[in-house]
Amino acid sequence: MISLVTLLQIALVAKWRIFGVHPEFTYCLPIAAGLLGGAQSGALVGFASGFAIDLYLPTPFGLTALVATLMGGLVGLLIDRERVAVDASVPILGSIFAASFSFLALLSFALISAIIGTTPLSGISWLPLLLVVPFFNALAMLAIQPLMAWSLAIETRASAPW
Amino acid sequence: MAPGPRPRRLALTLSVLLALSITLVTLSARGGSSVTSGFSNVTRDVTKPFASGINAVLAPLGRFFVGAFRYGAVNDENARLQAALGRVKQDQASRGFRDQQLRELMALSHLPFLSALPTVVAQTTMIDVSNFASTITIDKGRSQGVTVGMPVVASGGLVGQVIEASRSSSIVRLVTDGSSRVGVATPKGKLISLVVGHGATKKLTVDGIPSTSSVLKDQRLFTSGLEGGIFPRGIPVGTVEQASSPTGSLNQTILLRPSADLSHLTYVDVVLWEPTP
Repeated sequence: MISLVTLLQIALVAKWRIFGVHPEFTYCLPIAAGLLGGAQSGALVGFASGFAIDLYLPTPFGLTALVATLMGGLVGLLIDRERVAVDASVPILGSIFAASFSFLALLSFALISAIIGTTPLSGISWLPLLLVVPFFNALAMLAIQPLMAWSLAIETRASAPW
Repeated sequence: MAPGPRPRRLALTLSVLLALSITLVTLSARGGSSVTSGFSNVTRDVTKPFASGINAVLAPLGRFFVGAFRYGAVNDENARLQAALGRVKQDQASRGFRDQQLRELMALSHLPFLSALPTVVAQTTMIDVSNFASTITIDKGRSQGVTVGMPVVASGGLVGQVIEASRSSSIVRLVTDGSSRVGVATPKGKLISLVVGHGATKKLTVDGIPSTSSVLKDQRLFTSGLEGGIFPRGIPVGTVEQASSPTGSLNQTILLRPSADLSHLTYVDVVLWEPTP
């Protein structure tokens, strides 16, 4: 699923320029995994999906992996702490999380980029970025959340001892 | 929801993943580790056919999506293209005269790179894959002689510089990227300064021009080619669109329009010239 979303992101979604920016569906993966599988799954999926997309990006290698790991872990910790059982068939919670944590992910990415000196904050189209990406990620979550639930169920079955 | 792992195991997993990510970022940001860039280059080469395949299959869907959101803009663009086509037809009659004029202008503008330096024609395969960097990916790489640092030009002027080169593809940082810096000068080399990018949707600016210097609107600026510079001399970078001196400021505020049409980069030329260390 990570490979599929990464290739779709690079080959298709990156070309959808809406007010000069494109959605970043990569962040939906750790958010969905954190919601459905907890902090451990969120962080692991975040690292793997971030690492995969970093292979194609001109930004510092590992930066998306770092941000996605943080987002997946944070969503999972929040869900674990509040002891919320997320029903994959009710996607509204997933969309709200996708929008808010994508927003947070973009801010974190921009801030770390500026700190390490690769992308100055003035070189970013803030308004379109912070509106377009969370909105489309919230929409994409409607499809990604059920797929992630299916994916995590398969993984659990495969690793079960019986 | 799956039952959560024990807190110690979770803390360990998170710590390891975060430490690994931070290490990769540090290695990459400190001038490019051969391990991280090697990973990227091999992956891009291996997955190029898959990405191209997905692109070919899903491109109509993407065009539909973009068209749905930009219907008005597409109509406007169509009208502009029709008008441009009419002008091109009209201009064909005086083509010979214009060719002669062009040769003269090139000589006047000191564009030695066009005739003196070898170039490789490359096709753009990806544009701006990240929201945080203005880059293009081209289909030529090390096996065609393209290496990191080489300038990339299109018909109008400087497009950017190669920042990563794999066997069969390269990433080019555009002049509009937030971290792009280009040393420029006027054709006679009188005024030397630095052009700074501010992202794909914003104009270039020229830094450090004193208020006392005369910079005219529509004046063209070229790469300065100073010793140790990262571009050869004489590539058109941009045209001054606005020059003003804010009250009390020692420097002018100058906005520059890129010479190359960065919205139409289907084909570009990589200049086989490496910066002198």
